[in-house]
Amino acid sequence: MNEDQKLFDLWLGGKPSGFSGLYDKYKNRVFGFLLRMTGDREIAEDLLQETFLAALRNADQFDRSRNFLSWLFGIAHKRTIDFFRHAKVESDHKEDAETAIGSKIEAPDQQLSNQSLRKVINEAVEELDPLQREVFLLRELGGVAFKEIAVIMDCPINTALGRMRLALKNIRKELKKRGIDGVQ
Amino acid sequence: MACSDWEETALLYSSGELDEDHEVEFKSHIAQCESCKAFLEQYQKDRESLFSIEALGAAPSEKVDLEVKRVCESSKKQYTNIAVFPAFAKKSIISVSFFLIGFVVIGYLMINVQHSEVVKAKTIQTNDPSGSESNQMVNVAEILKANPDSADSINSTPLDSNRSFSKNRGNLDATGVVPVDLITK
Ligand SMILES: [Zn+2]
Repeated sequence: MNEDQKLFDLWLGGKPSGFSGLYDKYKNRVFGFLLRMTGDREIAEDLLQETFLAALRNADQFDRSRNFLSWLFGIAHKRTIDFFRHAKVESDHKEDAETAIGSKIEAPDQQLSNQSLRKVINEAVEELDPLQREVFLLRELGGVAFKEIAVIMDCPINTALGRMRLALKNIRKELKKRGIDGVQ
Repeated sequence: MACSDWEETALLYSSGELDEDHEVEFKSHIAQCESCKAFLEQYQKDRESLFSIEALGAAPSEKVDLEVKRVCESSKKQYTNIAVFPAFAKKSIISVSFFLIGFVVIGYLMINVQHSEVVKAKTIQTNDPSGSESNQMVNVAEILKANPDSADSINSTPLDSNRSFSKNRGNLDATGVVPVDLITK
C-alpha cells in the first residue's frame, strides 16, 4: 500500500489527518492547474475548494487500482469545465485576469533558483491553446498518463498525444521568442 | 511512420506507456534519426528544469488552506456516513459469503462423510482380513444353520480368488459380500 492509499484510507475513515496529508501534498499541483486553466486566482481558489470537496463526497467511488492524483485531476478538470460552461467568462475579463496572474502568481514564500525562467515558462504556457494547455498541465503537473488524459478529456489517445506534441513545439517557440534557446 | 508519429511515441516512451515491442522499434528509430533523438532529449531536459512542480504549480493562500480544511472538517459527518456505509456493506458481503461458503463446505463434507462411511464399511469387509473373515464366518455359520446341505458349495466358492481380485484392482465393488450372495443362491 503506498502513502497515498494510507492517507486515503484515513480520509475515508473520517480522519482529518488523512485529508490534510493529501491536501498539503497535492494542493500546489492542483492549484497550479486550476490557476493556469482559468487565469484567475480567486476562481482557481474556489475551484480548488470545490475539487477537494467533490473528492471528499465521492471518495467511495474512487477505484483504488487507479492513481489518486490522476483521479483528483480528473475532478479538477470537471470543475473547470463546469466553471466555463456556467460562468461564460468574457474575453476582456480574462485579459484582466491574465494580467493579474503575472503579479499574483509569484508566491513570496517560494524561493526559486531561477525566478525569471519560471515566469517565462508560465507565460509560454499561458499562450497555448486551452486544449493543448490542459493536456500539457495534466501530464506535467498531474503526472497523468496519456491513456488517462484521453479518458479525462474524452478524446482518443492520439488526439491527446498530438495536443501534447504541439504544446511542446509552441512552448519551445515562445521560449525562443523570449531569448531561451533549446540547449540547456 | 512519419517523424511526427515517432515524436508522439517519444511522449509515450517518457510516460512509461510504451510496450516492449514498440520500445525496441522506437529505440532503433532514434538511433538513426537525429531529429527525433533531439526531440526526446529536449523534452527530457525541459521536464527536469522547466516543467517542474515548483515552476508550474502554485500555492493557494493560507486563508484558502484553512478554509478548505475547515469546510472539509465540517462536512466530516456527511462523508463519514457515506464512507461508513460501503465499509459496512463490504463487511456484510464478506460475512454472507463466508456463511454461504461454510454451508457449501459443510454440505460437501457431510455427503463425503456419509459416502466414505459406506465405503469404509465395504472396505472393512473387503480389505480387513480379520474383519472379513469373521464376517464370512458368521455368514457361513448362519447359512449352515439354516441350510446344512449347502456346505459343499460353500467350500467351492471362489472366495479367495475374489478377494485377491478386488485387492489387485483396488475395486470396492468386488467384495467379500459377493460370495455370500453366491452361497445363498
Ligand atoms: Zn524521426
